[in-house]
Amino acid sequence: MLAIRWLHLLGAALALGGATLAWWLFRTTGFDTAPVGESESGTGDASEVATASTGVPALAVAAGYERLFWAATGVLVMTGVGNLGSLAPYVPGTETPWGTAFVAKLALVLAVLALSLVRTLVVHRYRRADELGRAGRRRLRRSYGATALAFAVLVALAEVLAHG
Amino acid sequence: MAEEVDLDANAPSADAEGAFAGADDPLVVWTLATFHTAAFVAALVAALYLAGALGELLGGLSTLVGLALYVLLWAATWWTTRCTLAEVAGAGSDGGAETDADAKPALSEMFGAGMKWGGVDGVCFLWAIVVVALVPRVRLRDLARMEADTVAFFVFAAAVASLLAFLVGAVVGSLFALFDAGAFRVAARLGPDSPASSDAAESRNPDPASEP
Repeated sequence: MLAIRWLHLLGAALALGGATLAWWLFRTTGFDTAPVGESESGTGDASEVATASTGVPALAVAAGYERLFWAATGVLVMTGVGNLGSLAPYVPGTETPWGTAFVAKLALVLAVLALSLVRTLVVHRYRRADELGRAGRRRLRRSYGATALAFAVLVALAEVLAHG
Repeated sequence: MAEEVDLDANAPSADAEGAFAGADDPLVVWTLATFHTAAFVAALVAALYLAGALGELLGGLSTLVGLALYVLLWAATWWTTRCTLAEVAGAGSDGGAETDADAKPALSEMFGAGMKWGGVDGVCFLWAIVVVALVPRVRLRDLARMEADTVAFFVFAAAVASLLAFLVGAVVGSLFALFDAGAFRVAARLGPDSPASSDAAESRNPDPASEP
């Protein structure tokens, strides 16, 4: 079904694009690299530093992305099985190159799911604490970068599975 | 780094402070429910593919029926995950854990609730399969003509199938509960409560002298 394929593409675009955007936002805000006691304007005003290191808007962005990520991931797995159904009953065997790529993709999907669960729970804890320091920003930036990278590999594997 | 931990020796550890704190937050419920559904289906697809049975199964399943089953499993898992986490969060709010030893009941609470509601999820999924796959094929006229023995057989079969579904769901639910508990603890160590992360103190009391 064409609608299932479009939905699968949309889910992948949201998950990969969202992770890339979140990584970029955490990277370009600059708070995680600014030395303590030195604000972006260079005045060194303590209240400005506190506002910069609190990072509540960044947490709102992160929590919003997490909601979107899990919706997209649920849809991706659902439509992924639907896409697989279009090959049935002639699904290539495990001994073929297609089978190797498919097993690798499933293993990576499970790994991304497990690590993303931890990432979301970390965001949840920062949100409860209502503050995100420089180390927290760095940690989330790296985790969003890793998520984007993992999804890029998944898209590449999907391309191999679809076109050889 | 060691000095920071020693200075804080009397404070509860990240685990004891409540790795499951705020577990009934809608974001956590949504995350865990989707994780359980997606990981279960992906693992099932992998197992069936490695066993060589995936092609036959998917060949006999229409796309719409497959989608409907997935959405129903997702919905049932969301509901049962919400119930599980409400129980765990409720248990955690009884004064909170002061030490690591006090935190252990929270883990057993998570395991017990996961097993119970996993079983309920299994029964819900079984009845979702019955409703989606069988009900459209059953005609009311045929049901009206059924004899008492046949009805009794179907009731008995439904009870046995529900019991089996509960057992399978309980096993899967308890495995997920253990995995979730591990994920909560890892997140507690990586999050703001971690002694390794001095973000909280840093942002409250910016001290230029402490910066390298």
